Amino acid sequence: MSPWNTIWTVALKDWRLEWRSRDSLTATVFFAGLVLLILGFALGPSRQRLQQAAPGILWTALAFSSVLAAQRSFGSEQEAGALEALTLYPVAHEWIYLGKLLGNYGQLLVLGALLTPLCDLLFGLPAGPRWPELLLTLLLGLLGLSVIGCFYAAVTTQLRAREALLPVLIFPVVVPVILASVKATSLLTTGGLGSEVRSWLGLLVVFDLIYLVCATLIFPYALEG
Amino acid sequence: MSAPPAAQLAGVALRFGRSWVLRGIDLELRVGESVALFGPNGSGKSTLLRVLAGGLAPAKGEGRVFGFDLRDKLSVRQHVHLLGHDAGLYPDLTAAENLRFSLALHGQQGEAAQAALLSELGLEAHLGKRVRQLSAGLRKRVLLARLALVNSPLLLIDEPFANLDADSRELSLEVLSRLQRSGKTLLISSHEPELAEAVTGRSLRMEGGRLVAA
Repeated sequence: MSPWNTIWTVALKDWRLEWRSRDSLTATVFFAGLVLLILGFALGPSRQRLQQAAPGILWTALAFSSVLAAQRSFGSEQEAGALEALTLYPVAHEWIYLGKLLGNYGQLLVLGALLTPLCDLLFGLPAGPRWPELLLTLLLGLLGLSVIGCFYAAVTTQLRAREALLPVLIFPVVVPVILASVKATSLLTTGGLGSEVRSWLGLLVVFDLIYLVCATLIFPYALEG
Repeated sequence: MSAPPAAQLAGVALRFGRSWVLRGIDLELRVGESVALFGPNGSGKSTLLRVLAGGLAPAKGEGRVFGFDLRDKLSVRQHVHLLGHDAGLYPDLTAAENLRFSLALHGQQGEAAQAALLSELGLEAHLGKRVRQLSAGLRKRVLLARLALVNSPLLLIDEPFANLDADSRELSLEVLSRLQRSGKTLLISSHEPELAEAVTGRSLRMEGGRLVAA
């Protein structure tokens, strides 16, 4: 079976399961909405302060929610007793990882597509004509969160304390993604310099590429323990 | 030069933590042979099947499946299909979607030729139902259909008769007999010797991680 067919088959299966149960999406959207509201209340009613903090609030909500989505990505395999079967198919485990990653990334993109307008509505994220760059920031930032989330979810899926361990493992590694995403979003919504935006986006591209390659290569060993 | 055996293990040992669950297993399965594997709970039967399926790497010893070293896991998995305890049907996919997913990852298409088998297993009317809506017996039939449809030449089957009513047991026996006649190599782990022996030509017994005379 070709790598692309494997990746697509696994991702399509995950999307179909998610669409049927809506387990992960409901939980992540609800959780992300709560994070937006709590941070909004915590920062007070000043419109200006909320607008300044909006990029940070958006990415905080996305980062926290991505952990939930990653947990579900492999948790659903474990619950169905399908993880072992998945590892025994005659396909390279690297392609299984990329399939799971694509499935998870798709869910995060839906989350991003719901949360960004909501954040704009609540706090103001005026990207104006720079919305393509904001979209690119979302695509790259969410890819970084997904690459790391899926990898560590696979590593911890057979551990008893996986729910506690997963955020502890993920957050230190995704600091550059969150930092670059917040900075780029902030610059885009406050009319910052294009060169500065490009440097943060460049950091995201490099991070995504390095971790995508490393996680894909290490995944087979991580999965088999 | 003669064809390699379906599976060959020499001195295979495996441990989980400090406890050895397989201790020096020597085993040869000839191509087309059907073998029953008996033994009490915890004797290492399921672990042995997982080693042969390329899911667990032995700590000691060597093994080959159709001539491929067990360390060459991808090649091994291309020749083996394991029907395990946790057989891995996704409850929110339909029976048909579960079958298509498995076959796709085996590089096979969902073809019309499968219709006869599905009809024989009484699954036609249930293919569009989600697995969570199916009874335990029907789920087992879906697994049997998957086992019969994948084109792996070595089939490792863990407890195929567990939790089945009389009709479903009969059906399981029939499917396993047909697989045997089609030239596939079967290794069936079971707690029910009289059933497993009905479709196998040789019996092995495991105790404490060792193969002992049946």
